[in-house]
Amino acid sequence: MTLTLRLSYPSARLPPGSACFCFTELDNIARICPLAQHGDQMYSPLAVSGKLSYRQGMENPQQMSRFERKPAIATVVGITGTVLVAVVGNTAVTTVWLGTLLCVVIGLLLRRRSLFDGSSMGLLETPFYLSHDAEIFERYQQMSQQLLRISQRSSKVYRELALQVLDDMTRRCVEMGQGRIVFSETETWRIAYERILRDPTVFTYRSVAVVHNPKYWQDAAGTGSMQFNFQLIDDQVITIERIVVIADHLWPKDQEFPDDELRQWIHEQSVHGIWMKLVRISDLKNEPELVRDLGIYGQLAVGTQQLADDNLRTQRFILTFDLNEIRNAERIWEKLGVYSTAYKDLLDQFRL
Amino acid sequence: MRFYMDTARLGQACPAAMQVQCEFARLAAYDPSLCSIGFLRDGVTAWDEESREQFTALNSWLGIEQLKRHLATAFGVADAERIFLANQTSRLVRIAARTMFRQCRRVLTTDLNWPAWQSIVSDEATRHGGRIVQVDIANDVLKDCATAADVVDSMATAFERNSCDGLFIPAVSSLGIRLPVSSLVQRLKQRHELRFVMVDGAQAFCHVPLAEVMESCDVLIAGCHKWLGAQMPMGIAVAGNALTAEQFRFVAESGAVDAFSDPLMHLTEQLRSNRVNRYLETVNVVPMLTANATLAAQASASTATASGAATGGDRVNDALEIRRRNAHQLIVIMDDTLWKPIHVDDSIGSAIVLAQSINPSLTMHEPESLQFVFRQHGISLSAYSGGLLRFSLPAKILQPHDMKLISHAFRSVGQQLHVD
Repeated sequence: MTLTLRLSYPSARLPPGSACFCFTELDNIARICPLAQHGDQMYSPLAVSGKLSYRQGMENPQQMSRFERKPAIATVVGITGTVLVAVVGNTAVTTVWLGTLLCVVIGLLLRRRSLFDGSSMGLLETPFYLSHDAEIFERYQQMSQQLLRISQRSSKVYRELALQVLDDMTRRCVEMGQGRIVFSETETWRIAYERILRDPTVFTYRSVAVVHNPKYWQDAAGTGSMQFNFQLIDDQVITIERIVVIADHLWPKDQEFPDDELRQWIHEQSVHGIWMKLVRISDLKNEPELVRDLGIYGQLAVGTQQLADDNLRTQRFILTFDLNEIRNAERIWEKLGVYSTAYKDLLDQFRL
Repeated sequence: MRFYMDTARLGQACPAAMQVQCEFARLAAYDPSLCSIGFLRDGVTAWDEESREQFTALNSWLGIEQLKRHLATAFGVADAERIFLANQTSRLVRIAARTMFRQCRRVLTTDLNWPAWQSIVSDEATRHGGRIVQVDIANDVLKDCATAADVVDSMATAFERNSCDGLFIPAVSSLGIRLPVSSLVQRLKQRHELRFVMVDGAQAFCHVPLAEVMESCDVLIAGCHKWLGAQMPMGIAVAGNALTAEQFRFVAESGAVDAFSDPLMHLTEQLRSNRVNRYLETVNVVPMLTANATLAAQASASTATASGAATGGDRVNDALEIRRRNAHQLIVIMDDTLWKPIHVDDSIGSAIVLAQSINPSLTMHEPESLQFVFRQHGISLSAYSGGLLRFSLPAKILQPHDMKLISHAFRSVGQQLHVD
């Protein structure tokens, strides 16, 4: 349903930066609508299109009618109940009545909270909710202002190019909205990686390294990250566990240990206190979904690394802050644990 | 002392250790510079003939590496590189605990652990955000006669229930309970990811054979002043495998923490790598000499016996047999005294016997006064509050007349304290 609203704008000019609200003239629903401000000019999100797409539950007129009637019914029931309690005048009944009311209110509040979902929120409500988060709201304001400026330009070519860029931005925003931060063709993800591992809520770091090249994580960036891992262990910040999934050409079936360069890399980590486990890729042939380069950072995030063909440079690094993704990664980790052998046990089995 | 049975704190010194200590004191009065870096590294071979003849009791000292080889034999490990020495055992415990908590998140311990070491391990757990899970087994063993299998079962259950990945237990507790370390580790490794096993061997070294324990554990910590009888306290850490030895050394050498700055450990590790810092703190080296003399004396004593070249483990096993036989005799003679032996199942028993007073008036006495009265009757033992006595049986066969004397001492002490 599309509603056209008339807005009661304040007649006086507001000081820059002040939050401004106006009430719509809808008969039954009074909604608060914050106004974006750009310079001296006041804008409302409604003013841009003059249209309001309302929440899906409101699209059906019958549903809306029920929605409108509910407060009245609740009020009548409430008043009747209270009058009855007053007539009875019994302390126990009064207590039960007040307790029931309180429980109903808490229940409704919790239900409302559980139903809250950013993606289903109406356009008008969005800034209202965002205003609780000063940092995001500031960016929302800035982006809205720039969108307004973009829309005011008349050049067709400019508009097409701007829309392309905006589409790209929207795609990235959608990813971020899903809890994902994506780094492409860059090693700068390691800055985020270090921040996460230094986070005070992260006590364990479980990592799966899929190794096709014996120099895996032994370039400057990789060595830096390894040193950072060692430092974290020395500082007693976290415990690190790593399962190394090794390509068969680096650890042939008839060899007790992997390729020497790779083994030394594994050994060094063990000496520094990283719990190392190893598995050949061929041992996972029936479960190819386990062959993934990933890191589980406590219960905070999961990082997935996609390497270039050389198995050295990062092609894409996806950081996901989503509990379901963490659970999935943990399931992968547990399965890998079944297939892999502790490096320490290998040393016990076969002497170097 | 006619019967010395108080190895809880300090074992009876071996004559060779005493001789070396006296000889070293004589050397210190004559020419302290003889105790040079060369002497510590290579032993008396660094001296001229005249000095060697002058201090003959020190001739068994052939350097730190030789001492480590003696110790490796005594612990039943092949590689002397896995031996670490320190003036203070607690420092070794801290390094071992830190090495353990770099890899483990939850470590299973028991109520039989020595409180001071348990506190160090708990402290390291806190520093690393790890957890200590304690399983209570003392009552099961001392009151319900739990067997080794029962102990393994209850510890394995606790390990699984709490998702543990590390283990810190004594090989022999201060109350003489010999925990089945190797069967427990075997059981845990079959079903779980056991990452690190740290064993307190203070009451086990030279008391029970440790070769099997060493095969199952990552680090074992012990001292020289109890069952070895080297008199001077010196801490020993033995790594169960080469990787753990490297990890232990790495943590010890990280040097950022004051707790690790043990002078003897620094000196021995620097001598090992031939990089001695001459401005190092002056180190008390006598414990190395006494430990070496004791081990050398034990080795030569066993080669002199009919069994010939017995290993360290064999020697300890033979001695344990004698001690256990003595323990059974002691239990028998306690029958008609005011003390009742606390029966511990043979599968977890050691050469330590516990006895509890059956007369309430005897439980009122302070441990010190109990020790004092027994000492007056020729028995040195360990006593605890509540009238609990601990006897560490000697490795010399107790003859019938010895048993008569001990029996008489029990009766006399009972009468004396009961009357009081």
